[in-house]
Amino acid sequence: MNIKTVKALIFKELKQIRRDASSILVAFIMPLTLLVIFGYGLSFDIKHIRIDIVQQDSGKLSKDLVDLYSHSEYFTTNVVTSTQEAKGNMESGKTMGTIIIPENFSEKAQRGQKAEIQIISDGTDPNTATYIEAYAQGLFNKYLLSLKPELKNKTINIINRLWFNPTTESIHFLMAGALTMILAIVGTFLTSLVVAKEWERGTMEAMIATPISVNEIIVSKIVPYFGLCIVSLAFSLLYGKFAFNMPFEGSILSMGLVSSAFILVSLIVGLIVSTLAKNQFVAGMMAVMVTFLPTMMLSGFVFEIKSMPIWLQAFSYVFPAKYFVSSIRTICLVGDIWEVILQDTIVLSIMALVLYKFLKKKLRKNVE
Amino acid sequence: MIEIKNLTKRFNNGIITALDNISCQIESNKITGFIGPDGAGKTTLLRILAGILTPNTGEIEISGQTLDIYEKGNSDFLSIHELQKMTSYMPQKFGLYEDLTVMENLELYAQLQRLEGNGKQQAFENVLQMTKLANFTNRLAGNLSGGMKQKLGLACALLKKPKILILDEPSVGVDPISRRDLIGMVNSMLDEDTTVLWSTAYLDEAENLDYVILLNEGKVIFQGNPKEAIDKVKGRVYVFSDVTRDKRKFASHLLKVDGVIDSVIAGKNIKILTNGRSIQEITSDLQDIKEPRSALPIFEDACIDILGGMAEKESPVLQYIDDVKFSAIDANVVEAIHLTKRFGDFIAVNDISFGVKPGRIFGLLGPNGSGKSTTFRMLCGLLRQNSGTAKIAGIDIADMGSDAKMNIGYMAQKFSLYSMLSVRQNLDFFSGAYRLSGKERQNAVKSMIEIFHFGDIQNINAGVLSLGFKQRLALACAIMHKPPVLFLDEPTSGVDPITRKEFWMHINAMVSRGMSVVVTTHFMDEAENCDEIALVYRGKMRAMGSPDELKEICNNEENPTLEKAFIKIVEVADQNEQFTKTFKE
Repeated sequence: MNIKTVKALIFKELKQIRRDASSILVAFIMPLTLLVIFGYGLSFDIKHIRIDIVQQDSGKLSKDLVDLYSHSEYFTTNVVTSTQEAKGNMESGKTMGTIIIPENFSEKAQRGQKAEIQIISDGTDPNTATYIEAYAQGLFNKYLLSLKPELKNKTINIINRLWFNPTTESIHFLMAGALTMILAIVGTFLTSLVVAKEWERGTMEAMIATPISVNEIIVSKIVPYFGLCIVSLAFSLLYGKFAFNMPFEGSILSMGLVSSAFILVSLIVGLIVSTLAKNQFVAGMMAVMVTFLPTMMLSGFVFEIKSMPIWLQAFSYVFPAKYFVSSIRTICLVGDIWEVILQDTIVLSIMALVLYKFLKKKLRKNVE
Repeated sequence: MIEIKNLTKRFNNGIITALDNISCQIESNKITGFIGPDGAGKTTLLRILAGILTPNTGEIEISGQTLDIYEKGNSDFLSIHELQKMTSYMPQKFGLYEDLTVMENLELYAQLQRLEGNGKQQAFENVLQMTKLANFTNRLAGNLSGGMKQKLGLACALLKKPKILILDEPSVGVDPISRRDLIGMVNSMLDEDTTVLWSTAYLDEAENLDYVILLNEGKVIFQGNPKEAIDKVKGRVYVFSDVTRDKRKFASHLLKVDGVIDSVIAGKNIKILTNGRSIQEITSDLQDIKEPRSALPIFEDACIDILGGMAEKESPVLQYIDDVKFSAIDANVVEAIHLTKRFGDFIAVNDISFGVKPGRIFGLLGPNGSGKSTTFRMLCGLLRQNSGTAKIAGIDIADMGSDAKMNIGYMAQKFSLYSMLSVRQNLDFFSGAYRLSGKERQNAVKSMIEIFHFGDIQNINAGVLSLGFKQRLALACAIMHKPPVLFLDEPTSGVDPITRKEFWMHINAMVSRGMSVVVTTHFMDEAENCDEIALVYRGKMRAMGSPDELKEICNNEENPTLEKAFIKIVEVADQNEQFTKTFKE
């Protein structure tokens, strides 16, 4: 391997990255967009559900209850006086549920009698309906507790139901997946496009007709994009930390180790894709098929792998994203658990090695 | 010296034979031209010689040493790596990095060719001086003109003086002046130690080369000095000058005379090629004509002779197309009025106006990127102009309904038929699309199959046809509804010389029936068929007139040709622009 040649090619690549707006777009703007989408859009906590409260009782206790609901972040409330109005709002889709506080509610409660409220939710969206039911009931139990602390022991089981949706922000959990996705895309998608572009424009043809070796070609493509991926990762981590208060319990060392292995795999997959496709459009489609979709579906990032059929679970072991998601979650949320991190890094490194062998076999200095 | 022995290369699991048992010799100290239409096998052969494609069978010897082309690792053989050390290869798409500057491209290729130190600086000075690119070293390669890009590509290939220089279509899409410069650059570096391979689809380029290998459909059909080939047809070319009677009818009549194997319209002259029969015998039956004068043959005449002359003596299209009658004989059939088209800041077409009279061929000429295709697309309504009007038969294209569009036939530059449908299915589809029905439709399809000889291939998918047949099919689909106005966008680019002649025979036949044709081309000899030519360069109309009128521009030269006129016009335009630029500064 001629170091000077490789250096010249790496500098060439860096110049191209700097001048080509689209690589900057893929490396920085896209991670930003993904983080924002995952950060705000794909939260599993449903908040600010619009409901009506029909307040038929005018006592102090019922006012307290209305306050409790309207100050909850789960609901955006609107107090109406008639059941008819609330029904109309639900029918027209303005609200997803209604809470009715019946007459004599305060009176009954004060007397220590059984005071009840009615929770109605829109069954056309069963998911949201379940949330409304659970949140509303939970808040009501909390309210009852504050009225009569001695009831605590009796209501404890209901409190458990309230917490079925952990207050642990799901966003931190998703962020790990988002980081994986970003690296997979920057690594595989970007490299496959740039190499396919070289085939399309004929520059690759000119290059392979020179005495350059296959290793020199591969190294000169991997080094600059490896750097770009690291920068993109650091940028994403910092953004996650400051914008979403994402925890980072582990060390930079562990993060660097497992990320390097994963980035290598992604870059090599990108080079393989573009060697097979040699056309930007097909290469782009292939890159999405082999990285984006499996990362989304089979890495355990959104969908729990344990709840999949056995054969699909087995299949998920093929995808590098699965190992990276596991490590990055551990590093961010738990800390340096070396057992997990080393195991994932080793698996990823073996993958990189096998894929590199395959790439060397496929990327011949030949136009066919 | 390179010797090629029985080289065969097949693609797509053997369905397509790109090189069919080719043997030839390439000597050093010469430019060897690989000449042939697209798909003849030129690129395949050059890629094999550059060591980036493996043939199926055959051998290559370089200076007596066998090339290890199948990479068996035999130590007696010359390895691909060694071959690539002494070779410079410039692929068809130049291989330039468009987002790097001229200098950065040179630096990169210098490093790829392991060029360092003083030698590098010397090489840079050399090539920059030769290409006249010294003033543009900081410009991005993507912002250079086509000719400059080609020169830079060549410069990159010439940095390290190669023993073997392989240039794949270096002159394609390059204006005639840059073409001359390129050949000059290559000639200046020739010596005993250098072998140059130059491929081209232009037959006229052969005359500037020392040795040519003529390829057609993967076979070598001629190899030798082009002058030898031309000598063979010496004394067999005659020109009838100042033809007063209908030149198209006369040209087609001449072709039918026994002994004439080609007849070409060149402005107001007609050139014929004989099979050796004496001119007295040929002209004995012709009445009231001026005595033809003997003319010097060109390489194309030699090729036509090698290929056996024109197979058909008269275009069968004549029987298919009926006479077209226009109500107003003097009105323009096609009219461009102050057409202007901008793409962002770039003015692709700048205030172009002209008119096409019925029964005429109007040619739009210009180098790639000059704006001729853009003008053409606005004329047939495929592109909306920023200002100006395009009219067909007096109707503004913008207001044209689909009924009026039935008057137009259009053949696109790129193959735009359905490649997964068979020849017959394509014809069926387009006959329906042009609203032919019943007997008329059946007759149209049947006639097209007969006229263009689709009989044996009518059930083959259009996508796998040879380029010549693809173009024929495209023409068939454009004329089957007998349109009075026909638009042809580079109809003959990349087809073999005989098919090209055949195309012009058909076009001339249609025009003699009264159809009007607007055609774009960059073949100067084809432009001679036109009644009127508009020369477009850098978005502006630079000259307009009949071929003979345009040749007047360079009448101070001894043998005025359209090409020389063209070079002159472009030079003047460039000078003027340079002047205006300097003036403004």
